[in-house]
Amino acid sequence: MNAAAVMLAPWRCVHGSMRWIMLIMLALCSIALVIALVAGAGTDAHKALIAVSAYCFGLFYAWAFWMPSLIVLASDARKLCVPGMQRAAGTSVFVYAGLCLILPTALIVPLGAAANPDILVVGLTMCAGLVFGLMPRYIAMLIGLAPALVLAFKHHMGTVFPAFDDPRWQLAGACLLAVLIWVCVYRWRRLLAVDSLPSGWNGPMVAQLRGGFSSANAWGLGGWQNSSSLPRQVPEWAQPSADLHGTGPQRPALSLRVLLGRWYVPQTWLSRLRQLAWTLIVMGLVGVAFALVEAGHTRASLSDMRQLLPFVFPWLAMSAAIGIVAPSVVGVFQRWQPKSAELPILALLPGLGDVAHARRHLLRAVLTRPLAGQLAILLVSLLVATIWWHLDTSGMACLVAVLLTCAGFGGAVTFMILGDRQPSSAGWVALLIAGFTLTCLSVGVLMSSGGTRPWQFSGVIEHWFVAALLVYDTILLWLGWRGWRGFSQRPHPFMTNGT
Amino acid sequence: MNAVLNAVPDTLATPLEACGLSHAYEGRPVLRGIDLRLAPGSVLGLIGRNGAGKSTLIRAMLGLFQPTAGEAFVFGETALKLSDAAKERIGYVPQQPDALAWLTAAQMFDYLSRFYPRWDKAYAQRTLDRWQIAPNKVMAKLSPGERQRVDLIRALASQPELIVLDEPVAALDPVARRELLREIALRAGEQGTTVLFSTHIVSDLERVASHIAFLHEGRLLLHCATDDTKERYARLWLPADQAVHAPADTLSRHRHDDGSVSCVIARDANGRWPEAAKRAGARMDALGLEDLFVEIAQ
Repeated sequence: MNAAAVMLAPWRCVHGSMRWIMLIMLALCSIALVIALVAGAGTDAHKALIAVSAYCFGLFYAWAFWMPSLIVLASDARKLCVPGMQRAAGTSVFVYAGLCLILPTALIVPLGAAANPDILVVGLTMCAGLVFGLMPRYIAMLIGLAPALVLAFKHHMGTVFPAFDDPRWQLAGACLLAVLIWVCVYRWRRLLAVDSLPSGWNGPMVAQLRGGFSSANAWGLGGWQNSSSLPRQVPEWAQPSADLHGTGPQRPALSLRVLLGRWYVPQTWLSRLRQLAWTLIVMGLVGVAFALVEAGHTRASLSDMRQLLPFVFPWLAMSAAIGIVAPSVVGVFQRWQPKSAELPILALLPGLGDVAHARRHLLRAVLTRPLAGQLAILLVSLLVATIWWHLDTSGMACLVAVLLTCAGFGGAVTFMILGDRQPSSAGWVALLIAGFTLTCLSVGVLMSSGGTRPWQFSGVIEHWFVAALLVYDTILLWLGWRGWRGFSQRPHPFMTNGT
Repeated sequence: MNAVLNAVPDTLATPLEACGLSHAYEGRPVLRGIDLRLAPGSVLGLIGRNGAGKSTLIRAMLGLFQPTAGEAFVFGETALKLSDAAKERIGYVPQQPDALAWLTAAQMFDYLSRFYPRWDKAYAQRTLDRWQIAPNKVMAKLSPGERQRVDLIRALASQPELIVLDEPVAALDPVARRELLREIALRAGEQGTTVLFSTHIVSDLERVASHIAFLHEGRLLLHCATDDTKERYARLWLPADQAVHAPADTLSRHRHDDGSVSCVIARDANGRWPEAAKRAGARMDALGLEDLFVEIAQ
C-alpha cells in the first residue's frame, strides 16, 4: 500500500458514468457557490453559511454514491486476495474524510463561519451519505422519507433535537456523529465479512450501482435489460405465482402474457394481492410523505383529508399512471432486447397462427391491460376531481392531459419497440426528460391550485401546460405511428431489435 | 389459423437450409454468403472460434432475425414466416438459458405442453428427476447448469424432428454432457431426428456429429462428413526454397521465420492432393479434427 494507491482508490472503483455525474455535481455546486458569494447580499457569516450549505449538498452526494464504492473495491480485493488493496480502500475513506473536513475549514472559516459547528455539519453530512450508501436498499428507501418527516415536524423539532443556534446543538450533533460513525464502521465490517456483496433488496445501496448505471445490477436502464436479474433478486416468497389456467393455443393473447414476463404474467389471486400490497405500501409511503409535508407546512390536521386532497391526489394519480406505464414498457423493452431468451421461444411457439394473427394476438397481449388500467385511473381521477375536489375546467383539462400523456407515452413507446423504430440514446433521454418534466410540473401547478393558499396564477399556467402537453402528445403520436409502420413491415412480430 | 394448424407437414423437405446468408452488425460483416444444408437425420456440428458467427448463423437459419442478404428455409418454409406445423417440429436451445426465469420448471413444461401436440410429459418428468432439478423452484433461483438442463429438457420433450442447440454443453458437467450427447445420438440414430449444434469442444463433435461445418470470420470454410476430414485434409509443409509453389487456394497458410510455409490443403474432386505436395522437401501430416480446427483458426 502506498499513498498513490490510497488517493486513487475512489477513482478506480467507480464507473465512468458515475465520475461524469460527480463532475457535473461539482460544477453545479461550484456555480451555486460562486453565485451565492459574488451576487448574494448579506454579511460574510451569511455567505459562509450559504457556502457550507452548497458544499454539504455536493458532499452528501459524493459520500452517498461515490465513496461507498470503496466497500465494493475492498470486498473484491478480499475475495481475489489482492495484496494491500483492501487496506488501501479502508485508509482511503479516512484520508478523504480528513481532506473533506480540512477544505471547508481552510476556505470557509476565514469568511466568518464558526469553525466547530460547521465542521460538525460537514462530518454529519459525510457520515449520513456513507450510511445511506452502506445501508440495505429497503432501509435507504425509508431514509428518503426523512426530509418529509423533518418538514412535517419542524415546528416540534426543537424539543427533540436542538436547533443550530441552540448552544446544546454541538453536543447533540457530536452524539449523532458518533452514532453515525458507529453505524458506518459496523456496516463496513459486516459487509466485508460476507463472501460477496449481496445484491437486491438486502444488498447495500452501493451494490445497485456496481458497474455503473448501465450494469445488470443497476436500478438504471441497464438493470431493466436483463429479465432474469429482477426475479433473481426477489426472495422466493415474494415471487409472483403465475396462473396458467386457461393458457394454450385456444387463448393466444393470454398465453403470450406468460412469455412477456413479470408485469404481464397472469397471476393467482393470492399473488396479485401480495403484489398489490407492495404497490400500496410504496404509494402510501409517498402519499404519507406529501401529507406530512403539507401538514408540517400548514400545521393542518392529517385527519382533514379534504384539505390535503389537492396536494396529494394529482401526485397519486400521476404515480399510478406511471406505475402502469413503466413496468409494461420495460417488459416489452426487455423482451425485444437482442439478448432476450424469451423472444426465440415466442418466435418458434406453435399455435399462434400466421403472422397476421400473431401480430393481433401480441398487440392484444401488450396493450389491453395497460390501456384498461389507464382508463380506470382516468375515470377514478375524474370522479374524485368532480365530486370531492371540485376542480375547475382548466385544472380538469390539465389533469386529463397529464393522464393522457402517460397513456400516450406507453402506447407510443410500445409501438416504437415492437417496430424497432427507437430513437437514439439522446433521443430517448430527451423524450423521457421532456415527458417527465412536463407531467411533474403540470402536477405541481395542479397541486398549487388547491390547499389553504392556492396560487393565483395557477389557472393561467395550467392552460400553458395543457398546450405544452398537447404538443408533446403530438410528437408521441408521430413516434407511435412510425413504430406501427415498422411493426407491420416486419416479417414476423417476434424479431429481435437492433440486429 | 385452423387451416395453418391443420397443414400437413412436408416430411421430405430439407430440415434446415441456408442460401447465401449474409449479415453485418454496425457495418462489421458477421456472415458472408453462407450456404449450408442439413440432410434429414444428420447431426451437424458447427464449430468456430468465439465471434465466428455461429450463434448468428443459427439464429438467422431459424428466422429469429432478418439477415442483410440471403434466405433460410426450415422444412421447406421460409424461416421468417414459419407455419405452426413447422414450428411444432423444431426444438431450439439458445446459448443463454435465461428464458422464463419467473416460472418454475414444472410450470414451464405445463405451459409449453399445451402448444406442442407431441409433448412427452413422462420424459420431461423422468429427466427432471434424474438430473435432480427441483421442479417447483423458480428458475431464476436455479444455477446456470440447472437452467441449461431445463432448457434442454424443454427442447427435447416436444419430440422435435429438428433440434438446434447453440453451445448446449457450455454449463454442463461432464456427466450431463455425456448424457446429452448420448441422447442426441440416440434420437438421430433411432428416430431420424436432424440435429444442428454449435460447440467449442472438438471431442464432442467426434463423438456424435455425422458432419461438421467450420465457420471462420463469417465464412463457411469447411463442410463435410466427420469421418472424411482425416482423409480429405492434411497439413503441407514446404521448405523456404519451395514456398513460392504453395497452392493459392488453401484453408490456412502460415509463413515461418525461416521462410518455410505450412498450409492446410484439401483433395480435389478427383481425390488428388495439390501438385505442391509432390515438390522436393514437401512434407504432409495427417490432421486430427482438433489439429485441423487449430490450424485453420489460428
